[in-house]
Amino acid sequence: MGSISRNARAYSFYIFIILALGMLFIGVYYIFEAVVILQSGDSEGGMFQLAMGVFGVGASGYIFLRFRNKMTLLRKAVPPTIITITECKICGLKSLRNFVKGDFVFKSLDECKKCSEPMLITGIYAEKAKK
Amino acid sequence: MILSLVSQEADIGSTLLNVVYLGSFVFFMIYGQKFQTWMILRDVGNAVLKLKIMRDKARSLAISTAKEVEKEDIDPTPRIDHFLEYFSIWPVGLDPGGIVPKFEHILNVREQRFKDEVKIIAPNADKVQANNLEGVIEVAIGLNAIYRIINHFYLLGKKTMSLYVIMQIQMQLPQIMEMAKAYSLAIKAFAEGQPIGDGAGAIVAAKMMYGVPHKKISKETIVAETQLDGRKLLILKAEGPGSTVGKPGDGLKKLIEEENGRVAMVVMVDAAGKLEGDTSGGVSEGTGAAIGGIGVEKFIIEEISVKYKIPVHAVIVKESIKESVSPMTKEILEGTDIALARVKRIIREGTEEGDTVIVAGIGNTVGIGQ
Repeated sequence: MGSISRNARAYSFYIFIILALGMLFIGVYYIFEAVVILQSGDSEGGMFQLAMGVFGVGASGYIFLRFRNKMTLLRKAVPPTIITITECKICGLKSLRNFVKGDFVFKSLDECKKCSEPMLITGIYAEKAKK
Repeated sequence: MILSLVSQEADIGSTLLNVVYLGSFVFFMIYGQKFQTWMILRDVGNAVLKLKIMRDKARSLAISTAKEVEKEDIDPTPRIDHFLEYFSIWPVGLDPGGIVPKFEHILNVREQRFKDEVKIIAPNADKVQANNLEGVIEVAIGLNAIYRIINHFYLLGKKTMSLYVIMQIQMQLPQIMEMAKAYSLAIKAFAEGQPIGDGAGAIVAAKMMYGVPHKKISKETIVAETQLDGRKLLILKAEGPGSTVGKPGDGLKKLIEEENGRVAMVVMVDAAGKLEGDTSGGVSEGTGAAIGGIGVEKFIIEEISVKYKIPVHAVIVKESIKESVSPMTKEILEGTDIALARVKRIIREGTEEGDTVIVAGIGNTVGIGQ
């Protein structure tokens, strides 16, 4: 996979940024020009310049938006937290704790704190990480 | 010449703009398809890179799990690398009569080969560890296959620069990537022995048989006898907490034959693919054998139920394909309680006191005991 190396990805990142900034600069310049031309009374020429400017700013905004979406996708996904539900079948004491390797549903655990009967794992589930 | 054609009166700036404008039409007319191919290749190339990372991580996890399970100093790397490209050749379908036993035979051979391989990689692993390691290797093989197929189309597209070759894979890419991501999550669940979404049916059966003695009925499948309002219940599930789906078809057939066909009802509980817009963990009921896979187990169940005219009811816990191979979510776990209540209601409403009912909890029982 040499053709899509990290260097190539880094280059495309800089190209995106330069392109977006270039478009933004040209767009702002055209809008500025449009204001000057409109003030001079040439409404046709001014409107053309304004349209070009708005297009430039819009295009740069679009490029930035696409880039931001791509960055969000590339952001490392946080793995879910695995929760183990432990329950005492005698007194009903229920508690949640993080999953420990070796846990499984219906595994008997240590004694219940309230009634000294063995606790039982009644469920294991994945909880999505909070953003 | 061109400038004069475009506009004789206009200044140099607007003339240039017109030339660029017209030029872009000509450019896209000639190179439009190449440009599109290049854009798609770039997308697929990025996907290939992501798949390669996922594949490599899965391979590393398979190796580290094998090393963790096997206390002796055996390096599993060459064996796992060798096994990552394991494949199965499905039987010829030209003459469909009798194809199911052929499928069954190939699946049995494949399963045994996996078990033998795990035994060589980790000879000292206990049953649960061996089953979980088998699950890890199976997912790693799946991810490797996905990576190789997508990479094949990517390289073929690059070689031919054909839009139609590369488009075939680009159109399916979102679903394929979703599946690959799910596999990446699943491999960790198998390595740690956490229940996955597919185990919803197994949890329902486990809840019904907890505290009751059970016996082996078929390969890696157990059965327990219990009572519900005067009905005899035979609860069947794969033997946990290691990763296995067991042989519920064989188990069910054996149970029905042991009862001489006098079974009033079979209720099958399984996780099933939800449609977009459906709620995860939602429960639905219907008729027929609720079981996935190639169809061998389903065929056996259908054959035996038809032979003895036994009604087969299905209760499903809805989840996406991604959720079915990822660690079980809270919604699905809660759905198993609803499914359990539904099963009991179906039995109460559809049978009478003294009847025998079989409840089969279908699915992978990783992280689920009994």
